[in-house]
Amino acid sequence: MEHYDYTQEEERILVTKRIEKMSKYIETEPTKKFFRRLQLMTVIDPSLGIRMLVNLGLFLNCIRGNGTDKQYEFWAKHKEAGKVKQMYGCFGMTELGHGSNVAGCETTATFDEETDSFIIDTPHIGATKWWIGGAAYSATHTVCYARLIVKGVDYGVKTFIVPLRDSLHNLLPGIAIGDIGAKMGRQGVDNGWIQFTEVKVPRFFMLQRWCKVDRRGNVTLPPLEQLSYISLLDGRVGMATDSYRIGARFTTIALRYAVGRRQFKSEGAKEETKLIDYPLHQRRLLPLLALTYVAAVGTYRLELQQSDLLANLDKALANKDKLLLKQSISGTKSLFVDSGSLKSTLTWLAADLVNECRQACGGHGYSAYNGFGKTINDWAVQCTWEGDNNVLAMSTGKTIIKTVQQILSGKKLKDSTLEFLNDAPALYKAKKAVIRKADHVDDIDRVLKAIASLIVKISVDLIPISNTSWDSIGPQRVILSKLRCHYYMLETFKEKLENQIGANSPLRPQLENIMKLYLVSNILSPFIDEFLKNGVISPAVAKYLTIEYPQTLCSEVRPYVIGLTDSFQQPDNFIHSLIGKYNGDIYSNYLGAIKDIHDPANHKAPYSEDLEAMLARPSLVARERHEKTAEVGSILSK
Amino acid sequence: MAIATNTVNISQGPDPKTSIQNERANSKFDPVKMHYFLEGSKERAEELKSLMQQMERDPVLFTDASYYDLTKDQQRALTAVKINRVSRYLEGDSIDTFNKRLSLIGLFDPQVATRIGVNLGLFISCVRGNGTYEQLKYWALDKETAHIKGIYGCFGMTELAHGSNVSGLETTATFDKDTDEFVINTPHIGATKWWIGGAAHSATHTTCYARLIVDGEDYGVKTFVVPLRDSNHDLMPGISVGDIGSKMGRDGIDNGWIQFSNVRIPRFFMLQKFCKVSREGKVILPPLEQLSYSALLGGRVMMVLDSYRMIARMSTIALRYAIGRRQFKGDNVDPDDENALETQLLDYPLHQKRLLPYLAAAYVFATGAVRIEQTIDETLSDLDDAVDQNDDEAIMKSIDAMKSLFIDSGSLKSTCTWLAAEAIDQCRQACGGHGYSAYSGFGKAYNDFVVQCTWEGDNNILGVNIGKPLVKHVLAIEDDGKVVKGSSSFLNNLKQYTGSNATNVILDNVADLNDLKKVAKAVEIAIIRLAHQAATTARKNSLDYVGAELVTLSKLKAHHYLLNEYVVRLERFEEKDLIPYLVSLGRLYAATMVLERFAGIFLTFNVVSPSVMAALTSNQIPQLCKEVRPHVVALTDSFQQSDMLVNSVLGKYDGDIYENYFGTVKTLNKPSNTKAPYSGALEAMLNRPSIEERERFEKTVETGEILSR
Repeated sequence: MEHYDYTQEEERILVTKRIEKMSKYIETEPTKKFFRRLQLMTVIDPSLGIRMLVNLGLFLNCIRGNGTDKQYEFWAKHKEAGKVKQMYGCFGMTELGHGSNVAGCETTATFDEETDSFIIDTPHIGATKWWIGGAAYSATHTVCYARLIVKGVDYGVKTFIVPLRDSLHNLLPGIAIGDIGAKMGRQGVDNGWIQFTEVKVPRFFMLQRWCKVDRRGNVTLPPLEQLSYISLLDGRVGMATDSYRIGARFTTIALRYAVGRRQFKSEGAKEETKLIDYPLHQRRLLPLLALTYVAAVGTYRLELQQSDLLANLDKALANKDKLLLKQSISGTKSLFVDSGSLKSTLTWLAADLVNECRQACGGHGYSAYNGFGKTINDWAVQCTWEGDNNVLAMSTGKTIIKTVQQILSGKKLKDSTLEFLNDAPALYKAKKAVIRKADHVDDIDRVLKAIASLIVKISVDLIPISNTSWDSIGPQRVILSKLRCHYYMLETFKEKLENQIGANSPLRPQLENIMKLYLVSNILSPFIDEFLKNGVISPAVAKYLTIEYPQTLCSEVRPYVIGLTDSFQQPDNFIHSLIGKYNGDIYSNYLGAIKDIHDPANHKAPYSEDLEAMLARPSLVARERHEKTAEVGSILSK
Repeated sequence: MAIATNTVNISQGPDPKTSIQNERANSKFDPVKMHYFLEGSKERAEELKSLMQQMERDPVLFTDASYYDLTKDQQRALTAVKINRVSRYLEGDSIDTFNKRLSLIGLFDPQVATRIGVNLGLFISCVRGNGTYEQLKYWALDKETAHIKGIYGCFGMTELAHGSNVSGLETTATFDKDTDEFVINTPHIGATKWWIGGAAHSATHTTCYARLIVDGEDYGVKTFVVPLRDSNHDLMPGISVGDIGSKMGRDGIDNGWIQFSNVRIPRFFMLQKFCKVSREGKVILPPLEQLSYSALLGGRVMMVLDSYRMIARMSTIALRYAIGRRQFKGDNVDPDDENALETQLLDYPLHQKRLLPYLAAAYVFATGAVRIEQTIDETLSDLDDAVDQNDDEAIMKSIDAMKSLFIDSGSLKSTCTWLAAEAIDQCRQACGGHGYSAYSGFGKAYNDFVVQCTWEGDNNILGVNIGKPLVKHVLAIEDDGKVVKGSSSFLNNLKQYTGSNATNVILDNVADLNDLKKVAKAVEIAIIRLAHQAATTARKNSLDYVGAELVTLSKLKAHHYLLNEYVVRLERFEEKDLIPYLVSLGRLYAATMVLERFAGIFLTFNVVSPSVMAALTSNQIPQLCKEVRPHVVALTDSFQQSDMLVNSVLGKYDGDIYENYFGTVKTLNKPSNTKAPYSGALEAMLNRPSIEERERFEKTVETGEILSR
C-alpha cells in the first residue's frame, strides 16, 4: 500500500527494480508467456508495463516492421535488446510540434554520400523529440523518425536507429537529452526530450525493409510500405485488452464496497440498506460490469485476429503466396478499423468506468490507498497515445462511410470484418423501424441489425457532405466508430455464448442477462437519440428501452454480483485497494493499513512549529509596534 | 524570417504566438467590459482584479510551475506557510472581501483554500448555525478563530462508516449529570471520525457531530465543541488522531481520523441554539432545527462559483493551445499551396464542438453563480431578521425561500461540479499528449477538483434529494390538487402537458432553437413529463426505484435555472454591443449542454421533434461554433485570469507555447543531470553477465556430462 505514497523518484526506482526482475524472466520463458506476464503486471503497475514496452514493444516492433530480417536479428537478438540486455531502445517518434501527424515530423536525416552516413538533426525547437518514454535515463538507442533527405529531395519520414548513450551509459556527442519532468500519471516512466545536432549514423542504421538508399544515394520506395504500420497495431490491440482488465479490477472494488457498505435505513428496517440494493446504485455500476464481461470476450477475439493476421502475413511473404498476401492486406485493413475503434471506444469507456466506480465509493474513493486516483491518472493517457482517440475514431468513421458508399454502388465486401454492411442497400431503404416492440430487444440478431441500420443510415446522410469536407463531419465519424465497436463486441459475445455455453448451463441465464444489460445500457440508451432520429427504433418503445428495461435487468443481475466479480479471479495484490479486498472486511483493512503507514505516534507534523507560531502569534497591535493606537494617534497629530 | 533569435534554428519552427496575437489584435470587443458581465458588475470585477494583483505579487502566495513538482510532504508544509500568510490579510479584510480572496485562492491553490475553509467555513459556520450568539462570539471572536489565531477548528462530521447519512452517525455524547459534563466516545471502528480536514496536524478543536444521550435516551445527532490539542499543540487525553495519508488530490491538506475515548467536556460546550440540555438533564428540542442545515448551503453555493472559475481557467488553456497548435492540413488549406501552414486545431469542426460548449458553459455558470450567491445572502439575512424579531409570518416565508434555495443550490452544485470535472478532462484530452504534462496544470486541477463531486453533499445523493420533491409535488398535484410554490411552481401545469397532452411537441420549428426562452420552456416540459413518468413508476415501486430518473430531473432543473438566469442577465446588461456575442454563447450552451445532451429525453417525451433534433446536430451546433470561433481569444481573455492563476505552460497569455513549455521543463529538470540517481541499477542490468555465467555454468552441456556419469 505504501506504493501509493511514493514520490516520482521512488516510483522510478521501484519500476527500475521491477524491470530488472522481469529481465530475468524474459531470458528463460517463451515470448508469448512473457508478454502475458507483462500484460498482467501492467494491471498492478502501468508504469512498469509501458517502460518495458517502449523497448520490447515499440522499439523492436518498429525494427521488425521497418527493418530487414537481418537488421531485426542484429538489434533484437545479437545485441540482445529482446532480452533487455546490453542495450535499451526507445521510440523516437513524437515531436514537440507534431504528434498525431507523423508524416509532418521535422527531424531530418540527410544522406552524406562522402561518408556514407546519415546526419540526424533537429532543425528547431518544434522538432525536438518529446514524450519519449525511457529517453531521459534508460535508453541507449532510439528508433528515430526523421525526414529522409537525399540530394536535396525530401522523401518523407523514415526510421533510423540512433545510438544515444555509449556502453558506459554516457550521452554521445551531439545528443542532448532531458527529463520532461512531472506528469499527470505514470511517474515511474522516465519520459524525455531529445535534440540531435549533426549526429552521424552509418547508412546501414536506416531501417530498410521497404525503403532503401544505396551507396550512391539512389532511393528505392516499394509499394507495400503501408504494411510497416502493422507493427504499431500491437499497442492498440493491447490497450483494448487493458481496458477489460482495468474494468474488471475497478468493478470488483466498487461492487465489493457496495455490498459491504450500508447507507440510510428504510422505514421500519433494523439495519441500513446496502448501497448495492439501491436501484440507482445498480444503474450506476451494473452496466459497467456487463460492459466488462462483453469487453473480455471482444478483446480476446481482437487478439486472435491480430496474431492470425501476423502469422498469415509472414507465411505469405515467406512462400510468396499471392492469394494469402491479398487476404492479409484485406485483413490488415480490417484490423486497422477494428483495433482503432475498439482501442478508442474502450479506453474512453474504461476511463469513465474507473471514474464512476470512484464516485460510487463516495469519499473513500478519494483515498489514494483505494487505487482509483493513481489509476485514473495512469490510465488517462491511454486515450491519447498510440493514436489519439478522436483521430483514430475519425479515421475509422471515414473508412465506414467510404465502405458504405462502395457497397451502395454495387461492391460486395469479402474477407472483411465490415461484411455486415453488405446489406446496406436494404437497410437503408427499410421504412419500418427495426425495433418496434418491447420483446424485439431480446432478439440479439435484431439488435445487431438495428446497429447496422443505424451505421448505414448515418453514413448515407454523410456521403454527400464528405465530398466537400470530411472535417465538417468529424463528430459523426466518431459516433460511427463507437457504434462499430459495439457491433463487434455484441456480435462476438453472442457467438461465444451460442458456441461455448450449453443451453442448460447454469452460466447461461447469467450471461444472457449480462448481454442484455450491456446492450440496453451501453448501446441503445446512450445512442437512443440517434436511433430515434434515424427511425431505427420506434418512439413507442423508447421509454421501455431506456428507463424500464435497464432497471429490470439490473435487478436480475444484482444477486450474483459477488460471483460475477470473483469470476475475474483477480487476487488482492492485483486489486490493490483497501476497500476492495476479497475478505470484504472493509473498515478494518482500511484503518489498519493507514495506521501502519502513518504511525499515529507522529501526531505533530514535521512543520508543526510553523503552525504553532501562527496560532500563538502576538496581537496585530503588538506586531505593528503599537504604532497605530489612539495614544500614538494623539501624539502624531499634535 | 528573423535570423537572430534566442536560439540557433536551422529552419523556421512553429510560431504559435503570432496566431494568438493576430487573433487578439482582431478582437471586436473589450474583454475588460466583458469581465464586468461575468463577475456581475464593474465594482465586483475590479475588486477581484485588485485582489488577484495583490496575491500575484505576494512572495509567499505566488505560485508557478514548480508547484507541480512538489511531494506530499512539501505540499503540506508549504500550505501551512501560505495559510500563515493569508491569516495576516484576514486580520484586515472584511468578510466579503476575504471570501472573494479565498475563492480566488481556490482556483490557483485549492488546498490552501480548503485547509482554511475547514476552519473558517465549516467549523465556524457550524458554530454559527448551531450555537447561540454568545457561543459564536466566544469561539469565533474572543478566541480569535476567525483570524486563524489562538485556536484552529476542524469539522468533525463524517465517520468511517457514515458519510451522506449524517443522522446515522454513531459517535456518542452522553450526559453525565454528576459532573455536568458530556462524555464523548467512539464506540467502535465504524464511528471513527474520518476525512477530517485539518485534524491530522493543524486543528486544536473540532465541532463533533455525536448522538446526544441523556438518561439512556438517544436524541439524535447534535454538535459539540471538543478540544483536541492543548496550547502546546499536544493531544488531549483520550484523543487519538492520525493522518489518513495520500489522496487522489489536495495532498496539501492534513486530513485525519479521530477516535474519542471517554473524552469529557463541560455541558456548555454543546452548541445550543436549537437543542438545549439543562443542568438537570432536561432536553428541549425546538421545531426549527432543520434550519441548522442552512450552514451547509454556503459551501454548495461556493462550489457553483468554483465550477465557473475552473471551467474558465481550463478552457483558457485548451483554447489558447488550440489556436497556437497546428495539426495536419485540413479542408481549409489549399492542397496546391506548398507553403501553407497546417490547420489550427480550433479550425476543425470537431475540435470546436469538443471545446466551445465549455466556453459557453463558463459564461452561463458565471451568471448563475452570481445570482445564487445573492440569493443565499438575502435569504440568510431575512431569516436572521425574522428570527431576531420573532416574526412568525416572516419566518415561514423564509422557510419557503430556504426550501427553494435548497433545491436550487443542490441541483446547481451537483450539475456544475460534474460538468466542471468533465471539462477539465476534456480540455486535457484536447491538448493531446501535452495535456498529460503536469506543467500543463490539468492533472492537478483534475485530481484536486473531483472531490467537489463527493463532498458537502454527494452529487448523486443531492440529485436524488432534488428529484424527490419534484416527483412528490407531481404526486400531490395529482392526488390532492396541491399548488406548488417557489422555483418549481411550473409543475402546476402538469395536466397541460401530460395524459392526452403528452404528445404535444414544444420545439417543432428549427427557428425555436434560437429562442432561449423557448428552450427553457422545453426544459420545463421535459421536467414535467419525466417527473410524471417517474411518479407513475414510483406508485408501483418506490421513489428509490426511479433514482436514475431523479438524478436526471435534478440536472434538468439546474439547466432550467441557469438558462432563465442567463436570459434575465442579458436583458439587464447595459453594454449592448456585447450582447450578440453573449447570445451566441447562450444558444450554443442551450444546444449542446442541454438539448443535445438530453436528446434521448427530449425525443422520448415528445418535447422536441425528431427533425428539429436532427437539424440541431447537423446545422445549429456547427453554425453556432462557427459564430463563436473568431472571438475565442477575446472571450477567454475576458476571464481576466493572469498567467499565475492559469498556471499552465500551454496556456500563457503570450501564446508562445513551445518556448514556454520547453523553457519550464529545462528549468525544473536540469538537462545537466544526464544520469538518473539510480543509474547504477540500470547499467548493472544492461551489462549483466550472460545467464550461463550467472548460473555458474552449472547447466552447460559439459556439466551435464559430468553430472550424468
